[in-house]
Amino acid sequence: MPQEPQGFHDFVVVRRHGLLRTARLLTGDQYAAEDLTQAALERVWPRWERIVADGEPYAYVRKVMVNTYTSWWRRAWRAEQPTQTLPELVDLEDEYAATDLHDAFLRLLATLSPRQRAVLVLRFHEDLTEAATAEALGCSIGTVKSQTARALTKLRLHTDPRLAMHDS
Amino acid sequence: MNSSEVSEALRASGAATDDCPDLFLRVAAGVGRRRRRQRTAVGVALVVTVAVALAVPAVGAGSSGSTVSAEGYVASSVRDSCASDRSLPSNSFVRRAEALAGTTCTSAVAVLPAPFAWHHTARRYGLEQP
Repeated sequence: MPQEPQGFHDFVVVRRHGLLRTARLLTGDQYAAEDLTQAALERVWPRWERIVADGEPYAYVRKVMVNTYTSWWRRAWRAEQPTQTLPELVDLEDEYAATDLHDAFLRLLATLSPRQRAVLVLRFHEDLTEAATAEALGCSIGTVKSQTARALTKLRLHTDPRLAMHDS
Repeated sequence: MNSSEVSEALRASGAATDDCPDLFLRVAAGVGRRRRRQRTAVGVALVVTVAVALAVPAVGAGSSGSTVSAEGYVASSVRDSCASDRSLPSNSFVRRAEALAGTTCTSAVAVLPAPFAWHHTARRYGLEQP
């Protein structure tokens, strides 16, 4: 095993839940989320000391993860295919209704482009400001605003009525 | 869906993510694999570089060794013939021979492959191949 940079293990132990959640929302799949988180952490390992010295290791790792996710998407490394119609509807009478609801929402997210998906996750899950989201994605604030608006519009168009009823 | 509903749904779906307790071990193993791949790539590049560096001079020496005798033969003929005939046609082979001989008979350009050029030149100068 290679020599671990100082503090890297503790960072992974403490922060892995947050990173895995973000990765799950980006990829829509548990195994892909684990792979994505692992790939991002592998990339930051060699320059960990410099990243810590810069002050915001979590933000940096998250940025690397989002960039890795979009580069994977460009290489068409996807287990999911965005579709206009959701393959399964949520059965609220089912005892696993809550799980189905989460899956339905993840499928709904999968209908968005990777950039739109990343914008929503960073803005509304990570609670980043528009400026911080723009910095993480390497784009302008205007792009973040337009992508957010388009993503929300698309979600409204494709929302399963029962999903909306459950939310209200 | 408005932004607060999206936020709520994201949190709920994110919370359903399973833990990955062995993540650190997976990362460490991945880093180890990555380093081994890098070392292998560097090693292969080094071997290829050394092989090319050794092969190029050997090929150069081999090719020049096989043509020097023919060029030298033609060169001496060119040097001898140029004194009496200044209107000979030229090609790359003749020019190389002329360069070796240290004299110039013509500036015409007609590039022929070396074997044809040799025969052409030899015939032009009335020479037989040794």
